[in-house]
Order: sequence, then C-alpha cells, then structure tokens
Amino acid sequence: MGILFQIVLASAIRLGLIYSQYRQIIQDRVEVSTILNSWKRMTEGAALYRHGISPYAGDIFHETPLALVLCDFMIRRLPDFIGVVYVAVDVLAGLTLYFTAKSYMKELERAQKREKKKYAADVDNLLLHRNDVDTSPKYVLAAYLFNPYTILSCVGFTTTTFANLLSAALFLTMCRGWRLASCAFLALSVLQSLYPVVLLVPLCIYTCRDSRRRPLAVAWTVTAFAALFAAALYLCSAISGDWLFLRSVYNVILTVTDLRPNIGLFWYFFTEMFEHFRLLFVYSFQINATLLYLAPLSLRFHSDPMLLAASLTALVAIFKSYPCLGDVGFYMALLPMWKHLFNSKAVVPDMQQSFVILCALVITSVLGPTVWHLWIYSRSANANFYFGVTLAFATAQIFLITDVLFAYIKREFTLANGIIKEEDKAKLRLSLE
Amino acid sequence: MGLLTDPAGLRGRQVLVNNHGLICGVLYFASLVWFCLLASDQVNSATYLSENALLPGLVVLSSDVTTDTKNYLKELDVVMKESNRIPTAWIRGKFTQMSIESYVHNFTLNYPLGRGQRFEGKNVYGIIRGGGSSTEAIVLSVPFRGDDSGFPSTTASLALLLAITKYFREQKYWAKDLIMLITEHEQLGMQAWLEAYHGVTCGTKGVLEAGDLPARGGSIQAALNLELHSTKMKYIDVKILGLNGQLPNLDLVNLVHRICSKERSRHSFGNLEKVHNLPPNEQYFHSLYTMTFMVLGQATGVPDGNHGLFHRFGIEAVTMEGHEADGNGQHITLHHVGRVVEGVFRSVNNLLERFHQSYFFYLMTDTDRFVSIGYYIPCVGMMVGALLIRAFSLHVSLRGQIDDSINSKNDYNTGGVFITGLLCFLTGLVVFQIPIISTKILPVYFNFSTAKSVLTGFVGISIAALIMVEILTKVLGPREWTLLSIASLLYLGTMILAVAMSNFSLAFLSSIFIVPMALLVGSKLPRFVRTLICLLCQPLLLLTIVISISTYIHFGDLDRAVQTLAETLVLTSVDTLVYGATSQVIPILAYTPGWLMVYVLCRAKHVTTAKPKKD
Repeated sequence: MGILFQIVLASAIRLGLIYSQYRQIIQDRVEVSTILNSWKRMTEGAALYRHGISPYAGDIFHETPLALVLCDFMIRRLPDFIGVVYVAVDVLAGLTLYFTAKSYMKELERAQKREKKKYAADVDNLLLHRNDVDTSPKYVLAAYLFNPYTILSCVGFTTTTFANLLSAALFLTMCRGWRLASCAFLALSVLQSLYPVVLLVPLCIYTCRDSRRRPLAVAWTVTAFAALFAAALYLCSAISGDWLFLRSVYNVILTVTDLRPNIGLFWYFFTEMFEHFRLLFVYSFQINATLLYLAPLSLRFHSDPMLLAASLTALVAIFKSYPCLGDVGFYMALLPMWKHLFNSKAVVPDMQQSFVILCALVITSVLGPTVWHLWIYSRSANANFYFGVTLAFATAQIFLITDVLFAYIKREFTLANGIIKEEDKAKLRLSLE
Repeated sequence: MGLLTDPAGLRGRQVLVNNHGLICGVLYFASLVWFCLLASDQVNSATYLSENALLPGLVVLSSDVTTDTKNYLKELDVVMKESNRIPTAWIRGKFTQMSIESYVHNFTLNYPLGRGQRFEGKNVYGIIRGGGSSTEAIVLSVPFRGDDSGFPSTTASLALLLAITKYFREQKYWAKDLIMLITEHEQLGMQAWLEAYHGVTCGTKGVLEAGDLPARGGSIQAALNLELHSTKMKYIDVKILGLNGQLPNLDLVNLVHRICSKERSRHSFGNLEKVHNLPPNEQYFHSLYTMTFMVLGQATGVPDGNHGLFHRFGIEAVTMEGHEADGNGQHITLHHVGRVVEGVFRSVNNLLERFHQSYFFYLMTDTDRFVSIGYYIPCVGMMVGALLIRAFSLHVSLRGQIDDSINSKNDYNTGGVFITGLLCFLTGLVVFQIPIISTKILPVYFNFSTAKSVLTGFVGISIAALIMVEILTKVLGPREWTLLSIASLLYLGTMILAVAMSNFSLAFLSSIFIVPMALLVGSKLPRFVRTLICLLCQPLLLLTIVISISTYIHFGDLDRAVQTLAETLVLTSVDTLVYGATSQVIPILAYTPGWLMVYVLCRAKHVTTAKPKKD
C-alpha cells in the first residue's frame, strides 16, 4: 500500500514536471545534463544516424551505438511517450533498489545470527532489529523516488536514468548471487560509462565468498565479465559499422577533452593548468576516481561487499570526469540500507556531522544555480564562484561517505569490544586503516 | 578529519547547544553593529582604478559643444511643440546631416494585466562605425520625454547627445562602434531595444514585442545614460543601481567620478556630494547616510535609471543625471558634461578586454569610497549563522530525545512535515499566479480596476493561506514538529544566502525581520505573542508596513498608503512579466513558503512522543 502510494506520487511529480514549462530549463542545466548523458545530444545523434551520417565523426555524440539504436527506436516509435518511458524506467530502478535492499537486509540478518556469539555483552541496542529490516527497503525506495537529484535527472531526460536502472539491476543480481546476470549488467554499465568497472571487485567478493575454490570462482567471474563486455563491444561495432565510437565514448571520458563546467572537479583544474602537465593530471585524476580507494576499501570492507560497492559507486560519482546529479541521487538512495548504523547513541552520539552535511548539500544545491546565473548571465561573478560551490558540494558528499564508513567501523568495533566508556573516549581514535 | 573521527563528537558542541539562544541573539546584534561599522573610514576603503587600460584623463579633451547645443535646443523647442512623441524624422535628419547611419526601432507592449491593451513606441539610434573590425561598441543613450511626461525634461541631454555625436563623428581615433540611442517610454523603450539588440526575451514571451533591429554594432562594452534636466546644472548625480540590485563594475563608476572631478564638474552619489575634510564623526554619518541610501535603493531591485537594464546583459552602465541649478550661482553647463562624456568615451575606447578587473559587488559610502563584498557579507553570514545554529541545536536535541532502547518507536512525524512543506510550496506557486488570475477574473465580474483586483487577489490569497494553516493544524492534531522547525530555519537561511549573492541589500534588510521572527517563534514565549510576531512578518503585511512608513515619510500622512500598496503590487507584477525582475519572485517564491512553515509552527500543537531516557 505504502509502496504503491509512493510510486504513484513519484510518477505524478515526475510527469507533472515533464509536461510543464520547467522541463526545458531543467534539461539545459549543466548540473543535470553533461556531454555524456544529455538528451539533446542523444536526439542529435539519432537524427544523424537516421540520415546515414556517423554520429561519431563529430564531437557532439558520446553515447554507445547500443544506446543510439534504442534511442532511435524510442524517438521513431514512441515520440509522445518518451516522458512515460523515462518515468517507468526511473520507477523500475527504484523498485529494483527496493528489492536489493530487502535481500541485503536478509543477508545482514543472517550474518548477525551467525556472528552473534562473538559479540560483546552489552551491545543489544546496536543489533539489527526487525524494525530496521522492514523499514530500510522502504526508505531506500523513498530516497530514490523523492530525491530531488533523481527527479531532476529523470525530468531532464538524461541517459543517467537508464544507467541507474542498470546499476540497480547490477546491485540486485549481485546481492542475490546471480553471477552471469550480474556480469551482464556490469558489462552494460561499463559499456556506457567505463567507471563501474571498479564494481568488479565487490562482485568477485560476492561470488567467491561461499565458494570452496576461491581463485577459480574469481577467474570465472572475471572471464564472464570480460567475455560479455567484449561481446557488447563487438555488438556496438557491428551496429555502427566501425570502431570509431571507441574514441567518442571512452577517449572523451578518459582524457577529458570537453571542459564545459559541471559539478565535477575536472573542468576547473584542466582549464587552469598548463597544457604540458595535462597527461600527468589526467593520470592522477583518473587514478583518484578509480583505483586509489579501490585497494584500501576492498581490504577493509571485504566482509560487506555491498557497502564496498556502494562506497565505490559514491566515490566514482564524486570524482568521475563528467558527473551529474543523477549519479549523486543514485548512491544517496543506497545509503538508507545502513540506517541501522545510526540507531544507537553508542555508535553515533549526536549526528552533528549529518546536520553539517545536510546544510552543506542544501546550501550548495541552491547556491550553485545562483552563482551560475551571476557568472554566465549577469557576468558579475566568475568561474571561481561556481567552482567553489561545486567543491563544497563534493566535500559534503565525501563527508557523507566517510560518515557512513566510520559509523560502520565504530559499530564493528563496539560489537566486538563492548560500548566505549565515557572516560576512554579521549584515548581512542578512529581511522580507516 | 578531526571533525569526523573524534569519538566524543564535536568539541564545544554542548556549549553551543546550551547557549544557542544567547549566541543567536549576539550574532543578530553583531550583524547590525557590523553593518553600521561599514560606514566608518577605518573599514571601508578608497576607490581606485584596477583596469590600467582606462587611463582616465590622460588625453587632452577638445570638444566644445556650446554653440551646437544652443542651436539644437532652439530647433527642438519648435519640434517638440508639434507632438509629444519622439521626433524620429527630425533626429534621423540630424544624424543624416552628420553622415551617420540611423535607424528607427518599433516596439509594442501587450499590457499583461489589462484586457488586450497595447502600447507602441519608437527608439531612434545612429551608429558611428569605429575603425578596425568593429566588434565592440559603446552606447550613449538619452530617454526622450515629451511635455506630458511626469518626469523632468531631458531635452538638454538630447541636444548634448546630438552635439557630441557631431564632434565624435569628426574624430579618427575610435576603435569601437559608438551607438547613439534615443529611447521612448522610459525603461520600456530601453528594455525593448536591448532585447532586440541581443535577440532575446527577458520577461514573459509575448508581453514586450521587441522585434528586430535593422543594424547592429559590436558587442556593447559600456553604456552611459544622460538625463540632464537643464542647461544649467547644480551637480551631476551618478546613478548605478540596476535591475534586481545588480551593479556596474566599480571601474566604470570610478571613471565617471574621476573625470567629473578632473573637469571640475560637481558630482555626487545618491545626491550627496563629497565633502572634503569633514570631522571624523560627521564623515561617519555622511557615509552611513549614503550607504543606507544605496542599500534601501538596491533592496527594491528597481533600476534608478535606464542604465540599470544594461547590467543583465553583462554591459557596464551608469546614468549621469544633471539636476537643475537654482539661482545664478556657480553651475555646470552642457559644455562641462560634454567634456565628461568625451573623457569617459575616450577611456572606454582604450579598453582591451571587457570590464572585469574591479568589483561587481560593493556598497558606495561616498563618491570615492566603497565597501567590498568581503567586508559586508559577514552581516548576512551572521544572520544566517544565527538561524543555522538554532537549527543545529534543535537537531542535536532531537537526537538527544530519542529512546535508545531497541524496541522504541521514535516518531519524528516525517510524513506530516513532508505534506505540510509540500503544501507551503504549492501555496507559494499559487500566490505567484495571483496577479494574472485576479486581473482576468475580478474586472469581469466586479468591474474592478487593475490595481484593485491585484490587491484584492493578494489579500484574498493571504487570508486563504491563513485559513489553510488553521485547518491543516486542526486536521493533523498534536504532533512532533521539530523537523518542520529545522526545515523552516534551514530553508530561510539558504534563501537569505542565495538572495545575498545577487542582492545583498534585500537579503540583509529582510533578514532584520525574518531572523528574529524565526528565532522567537521557536522560543518559550506564550503562543499568542508568537503568533502576533509571526503575523507581523506576513509577507503582504510586511510590505504594507514598509509602504506606509515610506508614504508617511514622503507625504506626512497615510491617506495614500492603500493606493500606493496596490500600485506597488501592480508595478512589481508588471516588472516581473516585462523585465523578468525578481522583485516579486523573491518575496513570493522564496519567502512565502518559509513564512507559512513558521506560521504552521505557531499554530500547531506540539507534542514530543519520545521522552529523554531517565538514567
């Protein structure tokens, strides 16, 4: 009942915005549409494709041929229902996340039953409770359906909506342990935006966890993913007739050729720096976005691959070359799965961080468009204002992730060692190592 | 990362939470004191020119427009007796005589709040093509006013414009195009010309039909608007306030003041001239008065001259208004003003890049002193800080209230708060449509005038909103409302901050009312007092109070207050639709939902389901 109401209300909000005068404004916002996911570029590419011109010859279109064919089909066959398709896809992604959360909560419950003997004596309040198991999937659904970032992304017709559905499906299949399906969804996600390749690690952990011969299971998963990804690439080349799309899709992501402002951190640095340092910075920024946190987080959180996958998704959404609000909305919807971490005051005494983060997110979300207007239209502010706001936005997101991770570690520690006494607090220090 | 890793939480938090009332109060008054301190010479700084290329006053000025202006004024006297409209043929004739290309631009206004009324107008402009590639241009504009205009005449400036054009035409050093523009219908003509020049529509589509221009110059770098009311002027007032509180680059303002000084023309800002060697305390009050004048003007978001419409197109512009001299004492003639115009144009002509060096966000405290954004933004920062600290302590106390045991159900009333917030925002959206709806319906059924219908509409919707809150709080019954309290504080704080980015004055002046209201509503005062305080800050009532005070100051009585209120409401509605002004958007879409949330807090019955654990 509650779920149905949520879906109806969310669809109504989305459809209302799609058929209002604000859709165009939302679609044109740099925070919502980037060069990779903008619907404008998609229609442009589809038009070129229909006229027999390769969309990859120019610098407008950066989607895969697979997406191109799907979009072309949508524009030709369902021109009046594109909005409905987008809403349906978004709702579907929300539902997929709902079921992901459900099975993940079950997994946590099982794990808790298994480990309960090892816990300290006074930690009853920290335990996962029936209430958490029931409510957290609903919160996940609400966080996806009513997150303004996801709504804007859906209303702006960004292809991130589809990417979110793929990621959600990946999370669901991964959690359920459906190896081949999850490899397929991962291959499709990687095909679209390359960065989800880091999720191969949690996927491997998931598949090899219960296996007796772990190296073999990992090899199996990697091979399956590689084969599926290669097949998807081959399918793409078969559709477009050549391999030119590799340059348009992946080269643009990796070497950051387009420096239009967005909510990411790349554009400002790459406009400011000297050209001969470019390669160095491309390497360091891309490593930061993908590999830098992969090893430490994998080592630390290998016991909870879902948390690992969520935090990697979040870090990619913050540090990737062309991030958009749709990505931010997606990983934020995952966070209620760890709601139980914040239940007890022994783990999180007063949540002042979360208030600071909330303020920072709200204020930067409002100030961003304001200073953008001052910079681009009024010409009274400049690029530094906008970059400052996006930097604060990124910082707030990083705090959000670290907040969850720290709460997790502290809960783990408390479960094992009992509740920290008031007088010991000053002596202890948390760290991610 | 100490903030996050410290297991004990933020240090000093408890001090902040326990004394938040005191801290918020101190921040509020500190903000007011800081604002007053800005006028002190110790805080504000002397203006300087950042852009080297301007080189003010370096060239020898050689224009002499005395004879030409006399002739043009004589001819204008005759021409203007024939008609009250802009004499396009005569002006174009003059331009042609100087062998300058000239054009007429027609525009139409479909009055948005009436029933199909249309107004037409004409602008005339001539272009002196500069040397080089002519990719940039400078504009000299004059608003044409017929004898029936309610404003002081600008005939003298028209004569000066023609005379200086004649002089400019003969010079060879122009690197940029010079556009000489005479507009009709005050700001409407200017807005139409700018929209046509840039090919955009700023307001609602179909309201102001700007059409297209037959010829254009390059991208406009700067504009000077002349409003000279007489051939003998006491002083020149430099006006800078633009639409939505936007200001021109300080370099241009300084340039004009500096060249005025060099040409020994008395000049002023806000009709206050610089007085040299004042004693410190008199200087302080002089500065405070000037600054307050600017803040009050900027807060309205209404441009104080035609220059104000240029700003949103990224064009730096000021108006030079010449006030008529009384008596036969020392005065400025058109010759002086002509030299100033020449000096400014020669300087801008030197520009290699568009104005970007100096400040765009500042407050003038004198003709040659200013407060930069770094000094005045703490005022708003402290106001918002007070709101956020209050929200923070509420948040912490909410966390402190929860029952830690695992079987407890902590009800934060999330659903109720969500619905209430949504209703408040929807009300804001409805209020925004009121001027259009009420002027469509009320004049048909009740034969109301436009002003009366708009006023009735706003009063009606305000009362409806109050009733809605009453019903809502009765229906929802006693609940835990802390989340709504946090939401309203955070929302108001964010909005004040966002408005401060573009219009500091509006944000600061409104926060003087909003911040105490938001803080007092959450306090332990009796509900009756809290409701009263909240109602006093009701958007429409607040506007009424402000307008009553200003009419009392201007006219000494309150007879016209209601009429002025209605007219103001109509004017801001029209400004929003024609110019895309934010003077109505901000109070309605930013403030009204926040105020409604606070009002709900006043009226709702609070209950805390979760009691602090007793141990």
